[in-house]
Parts: sequence; structure tokens; C-alpha cells
Amino acid sequence: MNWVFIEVVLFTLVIVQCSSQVTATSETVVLSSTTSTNNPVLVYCNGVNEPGSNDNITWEYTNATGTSRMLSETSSSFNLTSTSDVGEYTCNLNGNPVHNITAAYLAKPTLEHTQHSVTFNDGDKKRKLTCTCVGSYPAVTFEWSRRSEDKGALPVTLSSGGNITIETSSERSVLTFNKLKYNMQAYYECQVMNSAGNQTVEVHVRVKDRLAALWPFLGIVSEVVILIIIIFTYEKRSKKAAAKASRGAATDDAETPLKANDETGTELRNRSSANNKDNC
Amino acid sequence: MGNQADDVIEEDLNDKNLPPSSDDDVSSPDGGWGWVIVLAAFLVYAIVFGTLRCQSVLFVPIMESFETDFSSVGWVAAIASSGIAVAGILSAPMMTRFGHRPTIMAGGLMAAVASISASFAPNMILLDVTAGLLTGVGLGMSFVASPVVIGFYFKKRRALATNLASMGASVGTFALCPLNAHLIKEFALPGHFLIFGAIYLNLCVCGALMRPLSLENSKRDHMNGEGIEADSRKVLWSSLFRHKAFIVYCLSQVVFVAGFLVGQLYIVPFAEQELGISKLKAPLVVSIMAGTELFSRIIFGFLGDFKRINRLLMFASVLLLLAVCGLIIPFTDSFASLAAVAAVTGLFQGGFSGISIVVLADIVGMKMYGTALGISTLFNGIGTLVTPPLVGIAVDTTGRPSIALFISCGLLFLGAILTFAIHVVMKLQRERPN
Repeated sequence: MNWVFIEVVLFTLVIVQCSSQVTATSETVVLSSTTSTNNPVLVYCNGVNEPGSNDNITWEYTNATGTSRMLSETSSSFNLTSTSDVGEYTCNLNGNPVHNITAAYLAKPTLEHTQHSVTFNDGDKKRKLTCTCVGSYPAVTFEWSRRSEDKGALPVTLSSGGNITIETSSERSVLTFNKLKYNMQAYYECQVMNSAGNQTVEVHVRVKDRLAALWPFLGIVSEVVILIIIIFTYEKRSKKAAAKASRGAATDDAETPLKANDETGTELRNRSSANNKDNC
Repeated sequence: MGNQADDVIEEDLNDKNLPPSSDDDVSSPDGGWGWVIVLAAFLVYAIVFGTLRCQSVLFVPIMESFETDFSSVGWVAAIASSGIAVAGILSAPMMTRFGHRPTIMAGGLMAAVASISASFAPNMILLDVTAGLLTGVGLGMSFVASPVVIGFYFKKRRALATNLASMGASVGTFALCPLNAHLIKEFALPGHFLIFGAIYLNLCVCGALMRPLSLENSKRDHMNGEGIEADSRKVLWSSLFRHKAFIVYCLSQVVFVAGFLVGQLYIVPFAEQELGISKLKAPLVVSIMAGTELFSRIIFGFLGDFKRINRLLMFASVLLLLAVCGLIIPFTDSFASLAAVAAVTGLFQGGFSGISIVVLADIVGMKMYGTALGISTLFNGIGTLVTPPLVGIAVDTTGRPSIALFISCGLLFLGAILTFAIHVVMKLQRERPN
């Protein structure tokens, strides 16, 4: 009998202890870029199905930077309406934590200052690709990979060393090409990962000869030269024709009048002062 | 001697030390080869203003290539703009000494050589000098001389011709900004400067098209006399600085252009920060303005050439209306109302930039036109350099871009009133000559 009694007492003790220190359950909800008041994400305190009138529910929120505060919510569920709501949510029932929720979000990574492709010159030093991913929670990890331009080529993960340096902080990762060479032309991919998933952004890095611009340059220069030659030849001809038509006197010195003509201002002034003399 | 109302003003206002305006001596063809000149000037405007207004595209590549920050990159643009101002004062004596065609061609060549050297610049300082200062001076030389040539070729249709050419500024901005971005993407920064060097050489083509007017009526070719030239140049300068209407014009332009620029700079921040319009939508306001402006330039070109319309008073009224628009803008409360005011503002802007140049020709006469335009450009350049930083301080301390709009509005009103004052000064000068 004694044994049985002791057993019962111990058992109840264990039960009481267990119910007072229920290990809180945890889950992760994922917010997306479409999360808004129209498209909310529900946070639900899993340990409390039907809270009694005496039960008191409180929520504690820890944001991405680690500061905690109590929320004014007292119901067992509420909506997250913005990606800035990321962080840790703890549901307390009568002061005891019963459920932990991680609100995770993975922002789209971007490559700063580049569109789909970027051009560097052969021999350029310290050219950078900067991959940023702001507003994600939990902290993301970055991974750079390189995919050759050949069709069907697989990406190769890159790491610091040799001609490449990778420096990563919490929200950005910088890939530096210490010295660019032709064989570095490829697709470069920045992948970010956290518990909300993974995303990539890619840029086509092209390495061109420093003199690549020389051909279009020479093209435009020759266009300019040809046009100027045409313009002056045409002008000389029409001038000769005009001179012949007006008087024969102007034809014997073809060079001098042209020079004088260029100085429009001078000529006008002289002419008007000549006019002035006439008036006097 | 078919005298119209504006001719009377012109002649009466010329300083008595100078021979009467040359307008009557040169028969302006008002068409013919003149339209080729308008096309050439249109291209000059497109290249010059396209380059100046699209420089922000270069900021990031320059920053990356030279490992500097935004503030030092901004200097390239500022120096290029001041280069234009310097060119204003430089091109005037060049035009009188060598003529307009060589000035435009030399300007193009200078900008080209500067840009080509910029593609080899090893550091920021040399980039500031080449891509900033020298390119700016070169572009400015071509820019100041072009409307002067139009002025010689056109008399009855001068406003229309000048306004048509000045449309190149808008078209150039639309065309060169994407080209800038594309060249950077394809050829990186040095390649971009190299190719733009070649593009600047096209200014020489434009210059070559600007035949001296005397070719058109070559029977008067034989007058030449180096002796008188130096004398009359001195007279030109001193008489300009004693020309009261011109001085008031310079003042009004400095004030108005500065106010105008401030308004343009802060309308987008105002829309974003105080009206809460999205970053994607806010710049649309500027595009709307540019669109209606392009269209109304043609209208004001025609209006400005009507014999019955006093061009100066029309210009002053346009400035006053622009000031009124500027006053309404800070009181708009939505994208729709702001866009509507912007559209109306653009409509009046068409009567501002091109016409301001034509009005100057009316005030000083064709003989002093080039020099006067150079001096006015210099003053405007100084005004536009000094004002935005000062207004920037006001905005930073209050945190409200609308402060800048109110300052801009005050400057616009002052400028408009001063422009009406030109008319009064001219009237007084006519009634009591010396």
C-alpha cells in the first residue's frame, strides 16, 4: 500500500512539475514580398486552443536587431502585415512561454549599380560586384558562384584567393576582381540563403579590350571628316558659281575673299562703318 | 528699310558711339540656307545640353573607377557647367576676331580632344580638368556662337528659328542619356569618353555648315580693313557695359535662371517627400513639363515673330506667368494637381529659354549680340553655380523641399519684374537719348 501511495504522490508531483514547465513548441512562418494588410500572415499561439476566461495571453516580440518588447495583443492569434514584422514572437500563457514563432523573410538580393551586364576592361584592377540583401531575417549567408558562358555549364562556387577576394558582412557581400583578365568573362551569381529559402541574382561580366571602343570611335571620326570635306567642297563650288554669275572680277583671287568671309563680324562692322561714311 | 516696331527699338537703343545696327546692312535671307543653319544649331544644342544634363549617368562608373565618393564626382559636372560660363566670355572675342564658324569648329575640336584625353585620365584631378573644364569650355564655345549665326540669317522669323534650334536641348537630353548608359555598359568608362570625343567632333560638322552670311550675297565681299577692327572691339565692350537695358537684362536673367533651376531641382523631392508620391512616379512630373515645353516652343516661336506682338513684353509676361505657376506648385496636394500645374508650367517654359536669346538681340542689336550673349551666359553660369548650394542649406535646415520652391518663386517674380523694367528703361532711353 505504502509503495502505491508513494508512487501516486511522485506521479502527481511529476505531472504538476511538467504542466508548470511545459517546453514551449516552436515554428517558423515565412513572410513574402507580397505580405500586406490585404495578404497577411497569421501568427497563431499553438499551445492554447480555447483559452478560458481566467487565462491571460501575452506576446513578446524580439526584432531583427535583438530588442524585445511586449505587444499589446491579448488574443491567441493575430496578423503580420509587413515584411518589417520579422523577428521572434513568444506566446505566454499566464506568464509561461508556450509557443515560439520565428517570422522569417528573405529579401530579393540586388547587385549594386549593375543591370544585367557589366563591362570591365582587360587589366582593370579592383573592380567590384556588390551583392546586398537588406531586411532579411534570420541573417542570410552569401554564396558566389561563376557560370561559364558555354551552354549548359554548371555554376562553380567561388571562394577568396588568387585573383578574387570575397568580403561578407551581415547585409552585403563584395566580390573583388583583383586584376581582370579575359578568361574572367562569365556569369556571376550571388546566392543568399536563410530559413525562409534562397534566392539568386546574376550578372553577366564582360571583359573587353581597352581598345574595343576604338572602332566606333574611328567610324565616327571618318564620318566627320567626310562630311566636312563634302561641306567645304560644295561651298567652294557654289561660291565659284555665284562669283561667276555676279562679276568676273571676283574670280581672279579665289583665296582672299574666302578668308575675309570667315570673319563675319569684322566684315559686318567694316561694312557698316563704310555705310556710315556714306551717310556722312 | 522696311521698319517694324522692333527695329525701331533696336536702332534707337544702340549706343550713339557705334554705327547703327548692322541689321539693315545685311539682308537676312530669313530662310534658304538659314534652315540648314537651324538644323546645325539644333544639333549643337542637342550635343551640348544632352552632355550636360545626362552627366549623372557617369557618376557611379566614375566613382568605381577612381574609388571616390559622390561629392567629389559631383565636381566633374559642376566644373563642366562652369566651363560653359567661362566659354561665354571666351567665345565673344573669338567670334569678333575669327568669326563664328571657326569659333564653333574650334569649340567642337576642343571638347573632342578633351574628352579623348579624359579616356586616358589616371586620376580624378585630370578627369576634372579634361572631362570637366576643357570639355565644358569647348561645348560652351559652340553653344554661344550658334544662336548668333541664326540671328544673322533670320530677322522676320528669328524667334521661330531660334526656338526651333533650342528644341535640340530637349531632344538631345532624351537621346543622349540612354546613349550614355549604353556606351558605359558596352565599353566601360574610358571607351565612353573616347566615343563621346568623336561625337563632339560632329560639332565641327555643324560649325562647317554655318557658312558666313556674306557667301549668300557675295557681291559685297571686297571690304577689308584690319585697322578699324581693334578700335571697334574696345568700343563694343565699353558700350555694352554702359548699355542700361542690357545690364538690367543680365540682372533679370541671373535672378530668373537661378530661380528656375532651383524650382527644377526641387520639384521631384517636393513631390516625393511632401506629397508622398512614389519614387517611380515623381520624375514623371519633370517629363510632363519637358513634353509640353517641347510643343510650346514652336507656338512661341510663331508668336514671337508676329509684328504686332512686342517680343520683350511677351517675354516678360511669360516670365510672370511662370512665377505664378511656381507659386501654385507648393500648394498642390496630389499627383494629379501637381501634374496639371507642371503641364501648364511647361507650356510657358516654351516661351522662356529660346525667346530670352532672341530678346537679347532686340535689346543690344546684332552687332553686339555675340558679345552680349557671352557676358550674359557668364553671369547666368555664376548664378546657377552659387544658388543651388545656398538653397540646399535652407532645405537641409528646415527639412522641407517646399522652402526651395518658395525661394525659387520669389526669384522668379523678381526676375519677371526686372524684365518688365527692361522695357521701361528702353522707353526712357528712347525718349531721352543721352
